[in-house]
Amino acid sequence: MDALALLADGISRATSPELLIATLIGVVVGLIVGVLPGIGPAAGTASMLPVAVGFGGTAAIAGLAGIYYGAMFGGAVTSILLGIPGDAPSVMTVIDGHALAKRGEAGRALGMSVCASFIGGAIGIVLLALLSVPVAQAALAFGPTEMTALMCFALSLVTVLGGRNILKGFTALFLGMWIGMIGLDPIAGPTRYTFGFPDLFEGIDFTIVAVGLYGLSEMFLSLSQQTTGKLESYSLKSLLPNFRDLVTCKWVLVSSSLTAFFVGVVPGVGATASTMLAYATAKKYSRNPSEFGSGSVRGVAAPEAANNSASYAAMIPLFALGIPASGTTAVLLGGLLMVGLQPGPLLFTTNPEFVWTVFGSFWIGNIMLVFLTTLLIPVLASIVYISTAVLYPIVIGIVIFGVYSIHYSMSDVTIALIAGALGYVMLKLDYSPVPLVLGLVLGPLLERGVRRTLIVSEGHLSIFVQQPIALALFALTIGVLVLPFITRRLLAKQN
Amino acid sequence: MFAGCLVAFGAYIVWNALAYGYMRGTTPGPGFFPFWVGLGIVSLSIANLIRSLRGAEIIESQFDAIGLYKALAIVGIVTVFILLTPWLGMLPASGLLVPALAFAIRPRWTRRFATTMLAVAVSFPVLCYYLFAVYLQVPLVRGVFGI
Repeated sequence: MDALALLADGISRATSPELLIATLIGVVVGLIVGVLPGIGPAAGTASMLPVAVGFGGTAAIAGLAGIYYGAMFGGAVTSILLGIPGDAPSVMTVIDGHALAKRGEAGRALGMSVCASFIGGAIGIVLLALLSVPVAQAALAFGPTEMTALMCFALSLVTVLGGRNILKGFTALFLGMWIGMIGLDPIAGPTRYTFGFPDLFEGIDFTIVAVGLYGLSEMFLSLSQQTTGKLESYSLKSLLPNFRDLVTCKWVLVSSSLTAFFVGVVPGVGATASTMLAYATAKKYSRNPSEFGSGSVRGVAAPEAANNSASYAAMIPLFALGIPASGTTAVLLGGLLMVGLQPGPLLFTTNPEFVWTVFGSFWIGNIMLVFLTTLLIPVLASIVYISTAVLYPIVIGIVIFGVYSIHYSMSDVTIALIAGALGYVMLKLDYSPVPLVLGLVLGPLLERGVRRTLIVSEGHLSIFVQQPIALALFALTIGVLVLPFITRRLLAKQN
Repeated sequence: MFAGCLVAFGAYIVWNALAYGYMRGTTPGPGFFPFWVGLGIVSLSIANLIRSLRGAEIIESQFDAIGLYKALAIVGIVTVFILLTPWLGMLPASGLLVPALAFAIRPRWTRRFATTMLAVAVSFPVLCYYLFAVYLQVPLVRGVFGI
């Protein structure tokens, strides 16, 4: 069946009351997360993960994904009105969006950001539907050896996701892999690193660590930050789509969405880098590049279309290959595992209804966001001024109840708290928490894959290089690992 | 200091991995993966330690006293909440948790803020009751008073 017909089917299923409510909750939380400077999409998704899982299968993932792409819409509001990017992907929107607002054209900038976000999102969803099936079908040819090679490749992305210091990135990755080994050994049986605590025999749930590491630690980190900025005024009428602006920006909207999608689909690149590239490309090919930076409506259209398109691109490696391409998709992967689904090529054949309904909910959520963002702009702009002394205790309280409700255990709350403190120290010392989460999710899968393959081959390592796909993936892994060192060497030589 | 702790921790992982068994016949044992992970932590942390001692490591976000105090206070308050829960029950303890956290974040309260926090402290357990106990049917911890 045609991918677009499957998407249409998914959209009709996503209009069920249960899914509509889950998507609505997700996008509203996402808008708020996008607005709040201290909390990014990864922290927001992680904090809501325990609660969302209670909604059950499709509704849980629809709600969680809603937080992710909802944050892309929300981030633009404070970027334009206050000059404060709510999250990293909306950093580029500040440049021209806030300049327009200061010129008294805040409504025009906000209207364009909503339109661009919708168009970028729509293009992203259509491309996601068209490309995810071929990618998944290609990955179906993967046996255990190829999957092991794919896991190695995913882990090598630490060179991109691990922050400035690659050594620290890999240290965090190994720490995550070690946390994933706590509990019963999946093959031989004995318990490992449980320190005598029976609660650790079953291992440490990914969600609990993610909630602490992303949710709590980011809140701890932002406690010493203060929000400052002057709210620019606008009229509600000016928020309506300006047809002339849309015609002026039509090519920027399409090209930025396409650029960001194809760049964002590469694991590790993420929405922020895609947005920067789309902005730079739009400026380079503009007839009047000098207008960028001083309040160009094209300078709002390009990053907003790009960050929404890229957020859907990141879903391809997640759903079709089972690889989290960013911190937020790592949390979504945890959500999928928690609702009993293993993301990867088989998901499209074993649970097609689930996949297409979730994709359909993206479309519904994208439409919802157009209306919600336009209507809620005054509320969203004022949320940024809510005191953290009111907001954070409520969020921490909900996180505690949510973590407890996963296994009805207060030990999980303790683990989340330890993870939060660890995340705070790591962030302060420049250790990115993303590799730790990657290691925690992919480490146990890699261990099982390697050990099972070696059991089959009776310990012969040559099995890993007998398949051409596996060989190519290992070569790619080595390339990803070595490339930063070569680049640094060359740059040092040039300097 | 952190890198130094990680070196010791990595050594602990390697030590235990060898005890679990590196190989079982021709196939990897339960200690195979932890051994390499521990070794990775040790070697990378030594490299980080050397970089740090040489002054090659520049950390942009330093620990600030206020932020650190607030983070520690929150960790302490949540720990007290965990300890109090079996006695008070989750819902009543959360009514104390929320204003305590607010106090840690903002120690100076105005009358208006105190009123807001009182309202939040009362409504938060009610919200959690309906969301978790009623809607999600989570069996919350009850205290000695049965709530």
